[in-house]
Amino acid sequence: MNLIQRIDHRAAATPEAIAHVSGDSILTYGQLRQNSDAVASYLTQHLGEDGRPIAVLGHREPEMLIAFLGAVKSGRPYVPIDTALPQTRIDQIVESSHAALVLTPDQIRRFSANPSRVLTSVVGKNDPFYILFTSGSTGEPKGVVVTLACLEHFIGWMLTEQQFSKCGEVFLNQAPFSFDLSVMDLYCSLTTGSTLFSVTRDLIENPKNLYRSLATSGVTTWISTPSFAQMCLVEDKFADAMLPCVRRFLFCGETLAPQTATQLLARFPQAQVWNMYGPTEATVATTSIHIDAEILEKYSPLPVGRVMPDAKILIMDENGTQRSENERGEIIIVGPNVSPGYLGRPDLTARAFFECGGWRAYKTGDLGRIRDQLLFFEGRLDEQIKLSGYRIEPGDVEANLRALPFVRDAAVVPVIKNGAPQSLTAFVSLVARNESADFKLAHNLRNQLGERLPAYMLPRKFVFLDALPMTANGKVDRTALAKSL
Amino acid sequence: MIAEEFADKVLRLLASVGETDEVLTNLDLPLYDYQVLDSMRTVQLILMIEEQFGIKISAAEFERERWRTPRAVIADLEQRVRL
Repeated sequence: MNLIQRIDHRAAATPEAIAHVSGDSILTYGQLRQNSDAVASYLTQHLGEDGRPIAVLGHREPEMLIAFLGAVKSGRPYVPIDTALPQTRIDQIVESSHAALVLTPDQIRRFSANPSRVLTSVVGKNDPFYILFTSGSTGEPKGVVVTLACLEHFIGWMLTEQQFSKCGEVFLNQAPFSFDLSVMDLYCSLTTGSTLFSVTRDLIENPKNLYRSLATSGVTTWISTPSFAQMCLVEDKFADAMLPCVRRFLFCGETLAPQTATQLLARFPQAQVWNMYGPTEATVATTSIHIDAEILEKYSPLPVGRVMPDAKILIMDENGTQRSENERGEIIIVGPNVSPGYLGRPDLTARAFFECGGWRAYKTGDLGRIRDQLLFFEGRLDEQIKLSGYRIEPGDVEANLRALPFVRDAAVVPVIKNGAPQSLTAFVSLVARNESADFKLAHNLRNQLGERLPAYMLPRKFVFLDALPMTANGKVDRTALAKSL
Repeated sequence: MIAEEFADKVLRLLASVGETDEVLTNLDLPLYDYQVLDSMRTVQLILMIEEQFGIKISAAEFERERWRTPRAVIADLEQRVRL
């Protein structure tokens, strides 16, 4: 059975079981199957079988799941786009993905209603299953292609390692569907006939409602970024009395601080804490480790773990020579979980992907080392940073700043606190400036930039300079800028 | 601690969490509208207030309305101290 058949199989066995809870909306497995079949047949009928992607634009609505499965059941990958993104960014993604159609929850509801049956052919093993867009250093998002085989390899590993109980789990969905951490909760949940519990944007903005909703969620497997858990931990009541069923916390997407793990283990004595690591280009996560008292005692910073079966981690120097144990180098991932590359960008693909012993390999740009057979993540080779788990290329923010009227030049630098990036500061030189105060000016620039970039990419602080400092070889002197913070 | 000193300390905390000195002079600045505060920063501020003043605020009972502006933050905290 492939992954799609597995989900349909769950629907046939327990059609009344709840697949998704999001705010007041509830979706059963029966509805998910029936409606995704209807969407698939609509797509095949109206668009044929050209395999072009379907962009799905929404937030956490149950229709998102229907459209994802509807697309792949019609032999098309889907491109999830969160409505939190500004229109310019949405347009860029739709255009560069060559999407055949942009589906919204309203349309999906309508297409689900008329189950006109035509035979559809689902995506094949090596066909794209989803395409996720991430920040690209030149100011344009790039689409990472993930095949059904990549996804099956990843989910197969998760199911074996975690031994989720069949039909009995409730998975927390904190990450937006446009961020690949959500792939972990979504498909672990659907393939085990479990319930996906989405935390909507309104909840995250209103802590009072967030905690109330968590208390009623029945979550058994918590999947989030470490920052989200850290935020929740500020409330003392965030403990096993609030979430009595939680048995594991799975973290991925950014560095897990030992203090966060320690606090969680104290508050949730019945739960396990796991740390995981992997870029979108290698399908969500490639390494994992169970963080227990012994690991916490032994390591700080924490390791990101051991590699999944059939994949390999190599640590290489800049000449492509393998480094020995405990030597730092670039983390290379080799295996069946590695993406075929960036959509429509053979140039970018050739730079980051290569063949290695018959497998696809990806140069992560991450620095790390292997010690005691465990992988340790130690930062980036380039400027890329993670903020609350979101991957950001400062070059992306800079290019979009320079595109604004009155901006002559811009450099974007992360603000580091306790070794982790907290926010971005933009250093901007303007063509001409008016009399308004810096704060007003910054606010206006931020708003203009907000029409081009998602909120999580917006600099927190703007510093106005007559000219940006340069190094001897004519580049912006980022070190000097970072020091001035 | 006299009221003025207290207000000043609160504003400095706010300026440090929100990374802007604007809050020191503009007491009616809409903090959430101007993204001086967001969810993450609200909890950071809750933590810092506990550390500095020993005022315990439950994140689970917190509402944004109460911290709409720097003036509102000061008033809210003064009330909590008195209680």
